[in-house]
Amino acid sequence: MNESIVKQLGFRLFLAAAAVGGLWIGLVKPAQADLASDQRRLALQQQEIMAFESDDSGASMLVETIGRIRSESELLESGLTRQSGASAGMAQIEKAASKFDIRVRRSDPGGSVELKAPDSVAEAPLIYADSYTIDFSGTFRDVTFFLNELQTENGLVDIPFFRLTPVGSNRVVSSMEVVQYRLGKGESIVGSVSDEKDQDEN
Amino acid sequence: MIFGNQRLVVSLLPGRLCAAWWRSGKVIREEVVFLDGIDWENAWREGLMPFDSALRQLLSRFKNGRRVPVSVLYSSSAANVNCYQIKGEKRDARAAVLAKLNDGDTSGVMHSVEVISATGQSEKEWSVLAISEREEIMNKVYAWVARCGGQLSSVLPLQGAVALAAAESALSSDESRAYCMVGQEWSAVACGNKDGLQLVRVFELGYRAMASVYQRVEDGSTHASIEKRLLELGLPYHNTEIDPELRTTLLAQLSPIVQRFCVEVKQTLRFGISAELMPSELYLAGRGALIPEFARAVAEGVDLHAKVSPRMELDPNSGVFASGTAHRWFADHHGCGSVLRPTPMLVQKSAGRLRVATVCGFVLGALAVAGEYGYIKAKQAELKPQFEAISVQVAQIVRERDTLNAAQELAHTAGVCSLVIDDARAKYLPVGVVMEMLSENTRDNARLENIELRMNQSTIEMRLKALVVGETDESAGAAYREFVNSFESNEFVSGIEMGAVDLESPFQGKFTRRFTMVIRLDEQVSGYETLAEYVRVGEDDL
Repeated sequence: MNESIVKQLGFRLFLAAAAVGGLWIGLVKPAQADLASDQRRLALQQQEIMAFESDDSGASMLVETIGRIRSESELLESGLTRQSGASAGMAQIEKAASKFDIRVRRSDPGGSVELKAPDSVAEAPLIYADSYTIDFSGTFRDVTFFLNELQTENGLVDIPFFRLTPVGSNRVVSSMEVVQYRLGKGESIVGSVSDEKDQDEN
Repeated sequence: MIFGNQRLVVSLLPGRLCAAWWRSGKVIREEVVFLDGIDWENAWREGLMPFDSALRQLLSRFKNGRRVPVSVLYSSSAANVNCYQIKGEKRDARAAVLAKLNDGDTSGVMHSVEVISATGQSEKEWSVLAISEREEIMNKVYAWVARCGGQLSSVLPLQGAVALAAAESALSSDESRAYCMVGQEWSAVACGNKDGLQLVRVFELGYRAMASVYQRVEDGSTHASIEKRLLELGLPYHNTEIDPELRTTLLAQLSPIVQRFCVEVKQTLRFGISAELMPSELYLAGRGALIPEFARAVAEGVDLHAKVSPRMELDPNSGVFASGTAHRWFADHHGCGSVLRPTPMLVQKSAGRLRVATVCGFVLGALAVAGEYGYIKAKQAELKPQFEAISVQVAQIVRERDTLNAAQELAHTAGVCSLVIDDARAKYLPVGVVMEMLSENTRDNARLENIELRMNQSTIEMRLKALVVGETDESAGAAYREFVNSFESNEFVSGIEMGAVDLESPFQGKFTRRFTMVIRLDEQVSGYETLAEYVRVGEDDL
């Protein structure tokens, strides 16, 4: 009889303790964790607000830096031509030549190379380098203007090799290698980031 | 507690089961069930089961379906009552008696020890009454009450109650007196006054022996009628109204019993108290004291003035629980320390307390949980307005952070593009700049024959083949030096490597110097390096 009473009481005691413990674990502990989390979040936000309010110069510098990055990025994007293929590039060069009485005697597309980003950096828009060899003639003055036009008004253009030989009193014959950089079809630098941001905001 | 001041007091005696409803110090109702035809010894062997129906009847009549506390007084053949005189402190006296009782093989025996009083002769000497009973008997009583639907609250053997009642009677008087409690089977003698007790002794002889005489004489009578006859006729020493033959028969058998009773009392007083403290009066109490001519017979037998206790005479209730009886004492003192407590009863009481403690603990725990939970919720509610107060600023910070993240992302994308281009391209110098340089530095006396400009990733070199003309050799040399110097002073020229100079024979009166030279040029910042540098050094430096 005593044993059964002890067992019964022990079981009830266990049930009571388990019920209280269960309530504590199931109800109070999560609430405590939530409260601690809220308190931490509040303190963090208040710290951030204080730091934000006390750092006016830092904020203005940040605005300036962001503006600089944006303008440089836009400059880069505008420098990378969007025409597709070497024939379009050639047409652009010939159009510039025609402005300055330059006679293009020979043009030779050297092919396109896809520029690879280093492994350490993340994925980037595709960029191609299109090469051409151009033989042309004109006056020294026109050649100078043509080359200026080519490198300032036609995006990012490199001329890694250039040869000039005077012929006659004022004319020169010239040969050059031209490398024109362009973004892949549908690729964008500024637009892709802006588009993603717009989607996030929507 | 509903039953805090009321209980059922049950007295189990050979041939009789008495019950009284006790409330607030008064016996409200009393009933007796005579157990004729049930063998007493056999009933105990059977765990009191033969008495179940009698007790059930009493309980059903008294408690009316409710579960009430039951105190049981019973006649025991195994219980032992002893009175000890112990010197020392009161608590030591109790411990000393317990130690004495527990000395030797006492397994299966329960003890109840109560310090009754100081002896009066010395403040440091105590009368300690010890009641011992076999645990098996206690458990039988407990099981009997539980089986019949009662809740045992206290239990005491009759001899213990007799001794304690006698002791209390002695202690209640101002003068030193001797009290004799005459019970059914047990009687007790106590001597003392309110200052202390000198003597308590229990002996096994009560009015039942006299009732047995009546039963033998009047064969076939029931217990009820026998007791009634005994209390009517008593000891017919001087009663001449009864049948002479019956009187002779009764006296012949009653006289030895009375004589033995007197010897017990006389010897108790004689050996228990010194001559100078010997009381002059003996008060008789208990149901046996009501037997007619018993007091007179005792007075003659013990050579003392023997009287029936005034409490017995004044109480109109002449039942078992009449004032001054051991039964009444037990009814009034059911919760005193001298009662015995069977182990199952203790276990049940402990279990009850533990049950209450468990419930209390659970309630307290639940309250603690609720309190803590409420406190946390209140704290969280306090935080809500604080969050709302800073929400505008937080939103602004989030917007700023989004802008910064977008700028970082843009810088990263543009930086990677710049890095890719910067790694692939040669050093940069606009060819137009070179052409302007040549145009500025080539005077009328100089003529360019061939120009080769090469830009690779390490250098920018321009190879020139030209000639200068002078009227004299010296002027041709000066023109050559001027030509070279004009390049050296240019901001884009980092170095000049001279080639061979051919001094040609004068032609048409002009001196000519034909030469080659390599001009190393500095690159020009194209504007895309900053973004590439951003990727190279890491985004944290934005």
